[in-house]
Amino acid sequence: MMADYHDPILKELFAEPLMEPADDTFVDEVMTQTRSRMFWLLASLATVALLLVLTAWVFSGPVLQFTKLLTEALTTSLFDVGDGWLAWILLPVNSVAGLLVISAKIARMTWKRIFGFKTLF
Amino acid sequence: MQQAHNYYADCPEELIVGLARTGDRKAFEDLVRRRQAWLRNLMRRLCSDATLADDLAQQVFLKAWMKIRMLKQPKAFGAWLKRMAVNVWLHYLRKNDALGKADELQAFDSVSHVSTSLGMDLDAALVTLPPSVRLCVVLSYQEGMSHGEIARITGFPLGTIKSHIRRGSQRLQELLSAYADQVARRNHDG
Repeated sequence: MMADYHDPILKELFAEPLMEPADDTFVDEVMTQTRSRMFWLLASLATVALLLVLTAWVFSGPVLQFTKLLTEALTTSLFDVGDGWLAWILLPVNSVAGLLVISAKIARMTWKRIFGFKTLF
Repeated sequence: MQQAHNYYADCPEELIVGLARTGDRKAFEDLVRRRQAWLRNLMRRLCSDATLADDLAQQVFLKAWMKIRMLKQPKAFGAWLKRMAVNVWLHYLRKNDALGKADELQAFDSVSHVSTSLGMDLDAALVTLPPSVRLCVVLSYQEGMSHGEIARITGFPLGTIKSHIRRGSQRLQELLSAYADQVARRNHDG
């Protein structure tokens, strides 16, 4: 593969030594910000966890009811194949949940085929 | 008795990156110290504003601190940091809606421009290039990256990269032609 051409004069100019910026203040500022960033991240996680616990406690009854309904809906069979060996073989795909998973995979494959890699602009 | 982090400056970078990945703040501080000059100069070449460059460089290091555990190969730290720097710069350009202005070349008054070094004239000339063109030229000439590598790191199509570098190089050559003789004379004497 041919090397990319570079103008020799521009190469020389870019190779000129750059200014050495003083480092201590900059480094100190970065490390101070990493400390405060970690603090805010932990504080945010703790807040979210607390909210989730409170929500679960307040809405425990309706949440349990919703979970039960959702589980029943997702495990509903699409086709009646009885209770024999066929039912066991088709179990992973003969349900609403299986249909959703297969649909999501097909949609993802189609998206990748149409749009390729994710573009930045 | 000396503490271990007093010896970090003498250790290879790969080892320090490995330590930083475990959450060792002193190790990460050593990485910042090693890479800050390169990163700040890269951002200064890209945005030609020292204050903004330092601000963006800080953002890059902060992101690096938050994501360093995801870096699988310590020896790829330099390339990983560079990719992060380019992404931070592109994000800044998008926020300021500057990426689409590839055709806007700013004026450069070479007669009235006074500088004390070739480096400063190069920076002044780089300012006249649109941000996306400047990015490609700096990555190509200063960082020595190939067109393919620039395409991968920026997400720009390869044809756009080549066009940007060609246009940017031509523009810089026009603006800096007065100094081309000086450089050629120095090479001849040296």
